[in-house]
Amino acid sequence: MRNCRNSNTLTAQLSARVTSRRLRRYLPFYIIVAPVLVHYLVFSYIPMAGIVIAFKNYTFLGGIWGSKWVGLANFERFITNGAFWRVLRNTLLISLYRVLFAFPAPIIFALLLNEIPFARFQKSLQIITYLPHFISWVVINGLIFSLLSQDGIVNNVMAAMGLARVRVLGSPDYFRGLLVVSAIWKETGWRAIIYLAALAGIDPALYESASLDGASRLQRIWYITLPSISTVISILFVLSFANVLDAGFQQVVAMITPNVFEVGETLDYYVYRVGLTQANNYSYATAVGFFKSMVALGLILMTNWGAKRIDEEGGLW
Amino acid sequence: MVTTGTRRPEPGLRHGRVRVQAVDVLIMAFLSVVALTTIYPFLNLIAVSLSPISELYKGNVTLVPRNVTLDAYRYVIQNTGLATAYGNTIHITFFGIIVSLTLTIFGAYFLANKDVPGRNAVLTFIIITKVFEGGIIPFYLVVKAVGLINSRWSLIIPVAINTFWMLVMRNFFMKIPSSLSDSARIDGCSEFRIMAQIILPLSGAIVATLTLFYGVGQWNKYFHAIIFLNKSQQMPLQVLIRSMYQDSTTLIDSESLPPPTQTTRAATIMLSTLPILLLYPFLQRYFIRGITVGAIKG
Repeated sequence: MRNCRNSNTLTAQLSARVTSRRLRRYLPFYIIVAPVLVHYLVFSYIPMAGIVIAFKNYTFLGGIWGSKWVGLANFERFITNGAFWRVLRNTLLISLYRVLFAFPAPIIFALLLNEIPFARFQKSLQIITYLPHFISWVVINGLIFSLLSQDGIVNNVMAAMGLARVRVLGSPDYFRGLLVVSAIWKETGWRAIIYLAALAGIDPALYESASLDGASRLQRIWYITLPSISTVISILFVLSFANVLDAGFQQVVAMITPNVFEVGETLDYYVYRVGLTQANNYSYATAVGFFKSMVALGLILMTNWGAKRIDEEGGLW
Repeated sequence: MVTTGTRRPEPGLRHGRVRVQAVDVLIMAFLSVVALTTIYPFLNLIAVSLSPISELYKGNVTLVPRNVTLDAYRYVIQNTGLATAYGNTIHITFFGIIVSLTLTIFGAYFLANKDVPGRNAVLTFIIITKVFEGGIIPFYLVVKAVGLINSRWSLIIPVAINTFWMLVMRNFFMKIPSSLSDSARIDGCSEFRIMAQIILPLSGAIVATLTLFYGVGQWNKYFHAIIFLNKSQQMPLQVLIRSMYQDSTTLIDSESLPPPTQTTRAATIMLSTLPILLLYPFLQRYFIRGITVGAIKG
């Protein structure tokens, strides 16, 4: 009995010593990671908690925690607001165009690049087409302006040829198209990299046996290339839905002008404009942002479900 | 892989010489046009920035500048807030890289050590922020609450860590043999020194890549500048450029000076994008390495 108790205390002492030794050993790791955790806590978690103001009437005196609860009043105000359908339609349309046109573009580009038999030529094309990825949207807006504005290069040449100048910039007819085309122009080369990496991993033996069997180029692409990268495509497809409703917010901010709000103002831009450029709308704008997150969450769940139905290994989880 | 000279064995046609078919020529022609559309706007902008405005209106400037003049550059340098904006951009880029890299390395180093208790909890803690976020307004209110509004640090600290790149760096660290750091530990080397003097010197490639990514991110920063900063003398280059394309607010002193023209706008863009355009040919392989490292393990 006594012996036993002794051994018990001994184990306890021992384990306490082990714990303190473990702590001493790992303490430096925790010190190293501490600033990182604080950063995530302050700039990611507190804003997450701050969503509560969507259900409150935020006032400067009350702050995030002290302001009065108003239930769903802010959401009601948004849904009954005339802006609701406009920004929802713009967001969904721009997102849809981006999925339809900007998503397949890098796949097609990578497949075409992959067909080129000259490595150096292929490499140069890649280097050139990556470049716009590193240029800011503000600058790209400038490039577009220089090409398409009333006194831009296209109109100047047309005028010199005796044709009428066309108003492309600031015209609601062209704005969404301009957003999508410039997004494709900027990101296609960059996004193709992942597909090219996946294409490089395909076993050459597959192509050899296919050409021995007399498969044509299109057959090789259809039966070997595409199935080999289909999982990558489906993962990136679902991933692209993670922020599809941003509808290229950085781009919209850099390119939008008041004349095209009717067709170009997205949910995110509306949150910014109403919440940060007009007074006393913090709660309302947060509610709009929260509404957007909910729609986005629904979309990604649906896409993942769909991707899994098409391809067992597809989807994210 | 069997390669002959600069020719890459094309799938399916890999027996001996490369046969170039008509389709190949078509594809190459098409992709060359794509490449030309990519660089043409830049060449056009260079031409515009170097030409007098009168030539522009004649429709003469498409690729080659006419009557080359540096007037637009001279005007922009002397009359706009370009020098101040340039200074601000260099400031946020330099300190942004330092703060971002430090935090990213710290986080990646912690997450790379498998046997530290709580590692998975920290990983979950971090990944949750990729799934849920507070949105613009709560984020703005927090930045305001910590007193960063109207400080250039507001462009650096609140978004210092890119979670994806931190995980990419962690994967890189994990590939370094642990025997190196283990033996240093036995010799009594502190954890901080192991990180700084053993792991980091072996991670030059990933550090270079992330330096570029963070640097370009800061150089191109626009939205946070317009929401967090109010004073024009704090604004970075992107805000200056954008203001030249807006009717209402412009950083050019509008009382005594004419509004911006195509040539002065082009000159401003050229001056502020020059560092990226000049460095790009030399550094592009680091950019590419970054995304492929991430694509394989991310």
